[in-house]
Amino acid sequence: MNGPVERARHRRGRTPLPAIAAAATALGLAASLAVAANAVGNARDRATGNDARMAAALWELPGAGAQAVAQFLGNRVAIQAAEAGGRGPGEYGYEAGALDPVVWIAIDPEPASPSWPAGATVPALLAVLLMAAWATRRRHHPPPPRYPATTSILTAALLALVAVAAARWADLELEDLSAAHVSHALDAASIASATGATPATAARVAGLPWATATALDRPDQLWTMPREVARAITALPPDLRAAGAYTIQANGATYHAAHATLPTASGAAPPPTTLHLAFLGYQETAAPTIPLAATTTATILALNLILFLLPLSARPRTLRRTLAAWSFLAPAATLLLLFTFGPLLFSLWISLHEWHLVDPAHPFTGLDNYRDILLDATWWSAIRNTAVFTLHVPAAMAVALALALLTQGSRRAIRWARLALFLPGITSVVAIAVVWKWLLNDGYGVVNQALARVGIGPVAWLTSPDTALPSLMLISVWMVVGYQMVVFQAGLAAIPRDWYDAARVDGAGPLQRFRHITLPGLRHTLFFVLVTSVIGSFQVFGLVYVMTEGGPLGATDVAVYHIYREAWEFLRFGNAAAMSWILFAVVFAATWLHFRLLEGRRDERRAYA
Amino acid sequence: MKTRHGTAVPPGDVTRATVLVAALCSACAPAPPDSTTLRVALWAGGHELEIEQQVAARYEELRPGTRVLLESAPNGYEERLLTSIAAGRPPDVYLLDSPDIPTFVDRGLALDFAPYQEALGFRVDSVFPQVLDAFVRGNAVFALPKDFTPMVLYANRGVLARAGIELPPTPAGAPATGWTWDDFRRVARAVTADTDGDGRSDVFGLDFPRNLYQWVPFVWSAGGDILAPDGTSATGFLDAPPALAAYEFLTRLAEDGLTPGAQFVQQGDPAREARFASGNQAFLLSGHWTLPVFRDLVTSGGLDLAILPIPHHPSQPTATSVLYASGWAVPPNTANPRRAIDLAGFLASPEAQRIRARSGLAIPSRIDVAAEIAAADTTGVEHAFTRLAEGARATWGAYVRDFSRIEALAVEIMDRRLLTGEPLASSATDVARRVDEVLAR
Amino acid sequence: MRSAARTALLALACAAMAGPFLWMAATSLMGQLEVFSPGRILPASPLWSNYPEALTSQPFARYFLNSLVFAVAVVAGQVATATAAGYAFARLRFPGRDRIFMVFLATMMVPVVVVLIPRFLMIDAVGWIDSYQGLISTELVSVWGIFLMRQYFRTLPRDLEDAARVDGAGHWRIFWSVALPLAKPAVATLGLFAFVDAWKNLLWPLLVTRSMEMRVVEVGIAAFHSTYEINWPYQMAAGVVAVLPIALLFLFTQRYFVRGIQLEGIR
Repeated sequence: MNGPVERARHRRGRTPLPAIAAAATALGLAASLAVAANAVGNARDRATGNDARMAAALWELPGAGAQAVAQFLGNRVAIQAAEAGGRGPGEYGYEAGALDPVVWIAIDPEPASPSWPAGATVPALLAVLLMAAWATRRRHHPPPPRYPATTSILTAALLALVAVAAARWADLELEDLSAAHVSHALDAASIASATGATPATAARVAGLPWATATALDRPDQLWTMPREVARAITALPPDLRAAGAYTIQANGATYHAAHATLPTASGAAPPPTTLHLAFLGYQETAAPTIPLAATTTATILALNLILFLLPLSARPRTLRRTLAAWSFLAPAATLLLLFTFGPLLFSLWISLHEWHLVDPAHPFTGLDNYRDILLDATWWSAIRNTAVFTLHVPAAMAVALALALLTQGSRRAIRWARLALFLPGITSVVAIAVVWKWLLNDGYGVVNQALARVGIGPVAWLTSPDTALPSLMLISVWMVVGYQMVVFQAGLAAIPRDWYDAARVDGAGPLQRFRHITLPGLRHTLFFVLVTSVIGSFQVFGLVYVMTEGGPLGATDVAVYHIYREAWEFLRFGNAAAMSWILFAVVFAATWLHFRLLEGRRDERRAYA
Repeated sequence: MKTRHGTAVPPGDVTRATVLVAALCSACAPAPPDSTTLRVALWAGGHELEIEQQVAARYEELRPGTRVLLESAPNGYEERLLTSIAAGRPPDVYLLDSPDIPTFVDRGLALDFAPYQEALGFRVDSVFPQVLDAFVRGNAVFALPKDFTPMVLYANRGVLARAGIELPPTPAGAPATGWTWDDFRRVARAVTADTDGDGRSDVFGLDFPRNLYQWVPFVWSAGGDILAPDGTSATGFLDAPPALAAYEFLTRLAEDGLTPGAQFVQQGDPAREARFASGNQAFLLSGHWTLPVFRDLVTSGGLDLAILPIPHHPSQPTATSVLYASGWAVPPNTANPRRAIDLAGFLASPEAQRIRARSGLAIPSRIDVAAEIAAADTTGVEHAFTRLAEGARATWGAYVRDFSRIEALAVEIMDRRLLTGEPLASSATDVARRVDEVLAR
Repeated sequence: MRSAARTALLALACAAMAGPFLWMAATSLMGQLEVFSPGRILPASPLWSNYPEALTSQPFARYFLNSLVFAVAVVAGQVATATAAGYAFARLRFPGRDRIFMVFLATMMVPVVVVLIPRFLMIDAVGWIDSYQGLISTELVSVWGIFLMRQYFRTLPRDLEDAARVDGAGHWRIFWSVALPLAKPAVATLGLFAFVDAWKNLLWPLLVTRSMEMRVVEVGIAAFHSTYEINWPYQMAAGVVAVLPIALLFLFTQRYFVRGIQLEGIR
């Protein structure tokens, strides 16, 4: 049944896409595991670096020196002259000797016991097998007419499983490293204490937040251990505390804590002190969650792109057209993917956490941020203000269109007039805000002085909750009209002249020409200006920031200003990200409505025709 | 993106480069900066930055082979600093403002200077104790104080003289032992006038101190406070009688027309300094940073300036002012901890403080240098500042986390009275409750 | 008669729009305290020295150079990416076209403050902080521009392309030699706005540049604002000078988007 022609068609129809998909899956799996292993490796580097730093601090203690360092690190350490320092690769080290380094302390990393994310093995194997089986099936010649959804979903699920297992494995490894670090630190402190150092100095050698047992209950005496951590330690059940080393929860993060009674130098007789150390675990600061999530997402996306092209390869014309279109889109799409979609997904992730910009720990809080915001009256008042503010868009568009029509032509005077109209849009917002604040000043502003001439009492432009937002809307009209006018002019330029001439010959008046030629001709431009201005006005920020700072009494608190403060003033990035996504939902709904209502279906079909 | 301890390059770093983008672009990335370049983050601008550059140049002379790169951001300082710290590339030394202390210290973003005090020649008793206190926890020193300023009342004697009010000749002298709110109100009423006869006042007493950082000394000077002594709650303090008395006193000034109109927009009074200098406002509540603005006018005789204490409640013997300070801090994850500490030590040293004093923006944190400056100043203004700093205490922001949120809430107390007529007791109780929620976190 | 009314109306509009700017220019020539004398609008005697003094207080020449490099690169990038993508969305047929366009458009709706941090981390990861690459690379695509070009290409009559297609031209060929030349007004608009936006961009340059050598004009003005808080004439002088490059650009480019397409010849 397979004649030579048939076979040839099969060969031509044969597509390498399934094989590429399988390879991409395998590559993505390998990348996930590498990311997890890399994170653990980095944490191990940091642990060794911490050992070196503690050794340096020990070396600097009067009465401790090389002997104490050797006692601390055994044969892992070599103390060299500073200038001979083992700065080459393969050496961990630290300069020691107050501010002028005298020696270079070089140490070997602790030998790591080999381990493997065992939980990831099964799903990884399954994923590879699944893809291999699918890719080698004969049915791909010719390619299937439909997108293989089942394969896609199954593979995605397996990839996600692998990522979770790898993350879990990394977490356990990091916990082990953290526990080891705390016990090392206690060793270093004990050795320091044995040479006659005070508890404070010994704790400084350990380089971790600390408190003595007597100070644990007195917040005013704690000086490097955060209050919440000390509270969590005192709250531990006594039998657990006796154990010496334990993990505790504080500030939404896991700390590894340990305590030991310090030995004192022979001959000296201070009372024995118990020293508590706490260490924010590596699993909080070095966990590979984000790179793992990014790698997995990227793999799933790439896989689906390939699967999406597969059915198309059965229809060579459509495939050619698709590829041609994507060659046009590729530069923009790549940049957007990198600098916008990636960050957006990241912000979605952030919105599920309590995320302080510089806090090492980011506790996962699920949808708590969203719930809090939805219940927050000030946020809704900001949304309401933003919506009201958006009402200035139609007014601005009407003015801009009128001005665009008034300034048609290219006489010299018209050219300068156009520049004058465009000026507000190009002036530095910071500088122009000063001007407006001055012009609108209650007492001595030019505007109120002019109004006083004609007998209108002083208007509290920016200082009353009732008028501040309308004032900002007026200024915003002033600012955007020039912009819109220029876009309209470009749109007007696309309407062929001879249409007007023909209309004139037919005896149409200016109003009729406007209605029947200008408006339809500008339809796409009007739609564009409306949509972008509405989106832009939902994002208004600069004007509020420099003019009113959201006041008076929150009357001009708009959504993005609210978000900005939440992020940069109060440093609550989790909340800010969640707010951004809620705002996004609002704006998206509005824009979608515009498209639905104004960019008709008839039009769409014509574009396809 | 990685935290490096010590100066060595961990071997794993190079081999385990996994960031895809980094790998793709490593070919075009510039070489890492020379390890002896130290980056300093600060917010100096204009003349002040020139002077800081002189300080940096002096350090480069002292430590050949070291380059000091000043990364100044007079605008958006916090945004930039926090982002660079979050990215794991902090500057080697940064300027820490007192309201930011809890944010940075509680999160372990400032190295303890205590072990290096001796090597740096830094003694805790060489700086003003009330300034140092904000940067110290137990015996750990988290920043070396740079300079500071108390909030004071600038007075334009010309305006006072026009209203027939005489101040004793020395700038700090009048009123020698402080003055009460009643005294102040009398003076403010006497100077407020309508000079051009349009039916509206154009000379005023004081611009309305709308923000917490401005009005907190009034609460203190009434014998109250805004937070409980342990900084854990506001109810019973922010809404207690002394605080209410302060709000009442200040809002009455506004309601009686003794303050100019545009008081409610936060940045709304861009003209306050100029109004004061041009003789349309008798008093200005501000810190030392405003002084350079008036210097030329004072030396040319265009402005007769007096520095006065903030008035206090009649029941109290003296006023307490608030004090804002800044200090040099070193992040623990800098690539050059030792050199950074050395540089921070120099930036806070008497030599650097003497060079810096030329900008005249703040009072040097060292007692000896501040005394030299005060002695060299013939106008007596500097002396007045140092004297008024004695009774001042550091802002709550130096001790309490999330203080920016508290400040944002506290603005409402008086706004609500002035804009909606709500009784102060009710708005203060409500705001105190919300501040409690912030503190409870 | 109608023409006179039109002229009057236009003059009024110009006065209203340019008024605050003229006030700014007048203030830039006043003495520091003269600004605050009530009722004064024009300087008693123009203090031209404000300009050299304000502009030498910071290395503004360097700032202008940086802004220019930044803006020109951004214009080039955005015009290249937006014309191509806009053309594809308007004129080519491929599966999921309008849905993909909505996804693109959706990125305009998320406030830029939330993507700043991740962007900063990425630029930092490749070591581009405080460099032109870092400043420019994130700004090379503008969805606003893609949308603008899409709308414009849809306005153009189809017959021209069809003629070219009959002659056997490929998609890129048609785009380059038929569609793009017709889209000059939109390209000019896009270029102008890309330039203005880059010139006025404050937040991003503030974050990615550190040294004075890399600072751009808008950041310089903002720093100015904080440093010379009460020296309004200086601030206004800097503001006036910062506008000039864009104003000149506008004067010279406006003929492109005002002159209509000459369709008569090809019809």
